[in-house]
Amino acid sequence: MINNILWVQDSINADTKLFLNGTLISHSDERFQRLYSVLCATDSDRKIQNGSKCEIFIQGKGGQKSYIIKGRYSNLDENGRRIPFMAYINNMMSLQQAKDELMSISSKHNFEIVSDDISVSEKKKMNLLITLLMTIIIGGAIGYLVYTCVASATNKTREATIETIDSISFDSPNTK
Amino acid sequence: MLPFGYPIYLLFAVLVTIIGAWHKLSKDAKELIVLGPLASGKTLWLCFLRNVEYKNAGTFDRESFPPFTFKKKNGDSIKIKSGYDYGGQEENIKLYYEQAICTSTPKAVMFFFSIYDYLNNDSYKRDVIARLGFIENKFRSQLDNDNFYLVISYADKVSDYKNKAKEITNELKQTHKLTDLLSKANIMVINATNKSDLENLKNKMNI
Repeated sequence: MINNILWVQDSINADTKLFLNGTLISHSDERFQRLYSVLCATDSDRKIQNGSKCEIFIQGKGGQKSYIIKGRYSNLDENGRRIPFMAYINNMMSLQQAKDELMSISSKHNFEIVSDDISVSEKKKMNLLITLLMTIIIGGAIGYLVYTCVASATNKTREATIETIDSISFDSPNTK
Repeated sequence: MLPFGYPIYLLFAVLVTIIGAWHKLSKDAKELIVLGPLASGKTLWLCFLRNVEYKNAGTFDRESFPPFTFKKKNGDSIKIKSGYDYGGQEENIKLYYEQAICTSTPKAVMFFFSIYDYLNNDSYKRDVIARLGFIENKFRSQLDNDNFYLVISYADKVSDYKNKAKEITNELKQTHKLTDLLSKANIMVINATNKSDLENLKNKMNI
């Protein structure tokens, strides 16, 4: 049973590390590549775009869900680069629970997450293209409504003006 | 007087223009695949080319980048499709290298490695040779149409880097039989932290 997988690249001079339920899996272990693939297979997962600096993906709907979180610890490697990690957290009820679990697993290996890097809101932010299209469609619709209102008002005014002019021309004392 | 429903026509024209521009951009765009071991300058290069700030941070499996255009000194503009910045970890070779380079879209494949680590770390050297062997094997049939760049980085860390780089490429061709790949490669030796070297590399890019 996979509860969690954690991959870290904590040194540029040594192999990456992969932990399955807290146990280090060696690169020569046949499970290594398969477990690594689990962390990378996010193409069909739902991505949460909630402003987090980490990339967060959800598998499953409703109660128990799995989360894949990719980001960087506050810890630095030999080159002063923030250490990248990827984690698969299984059987979680919420992103908050997954975040807590990830922080707990990471701290066991002396890695620290910047708390603000993972926002726990599961609401999506609209991306730029969708925002642009929505703006054009809504803007077009408002423009259309304004135009039809103005056009309708102009037609009424014109009809009223013609009536007035007609009445003047027929009733004017000068015509008599 | 404007005809009735004019805003609808305008909206339609705007949408058609946007879709047309997007289609034209995606039709002309090329692929740029940047590969290599850890800390070899891949992300630094991509950030420079995309004109975005480089943050000193490791890359996880791969990180997507949006389409972008870069301009060369001679005025040529090169449009690049959205793609990925691949992490340098060994486990990415099996997972991503083949699917990245074996596509029909016109592309440039760039392979970065540190000359300093190649000369001073045997396991790094073996790793570089294995990766280049994999690329040659998968990319051989595309070498006539696509471009391959071998970028030997961190030249500033090695004295007499020009001769050392020549020795390395001769060794890769003769001892490690990477002749097919390297005889068609554009070979560049750069200091990845020097902007004029990166600018020079950009001006020599041909996709």
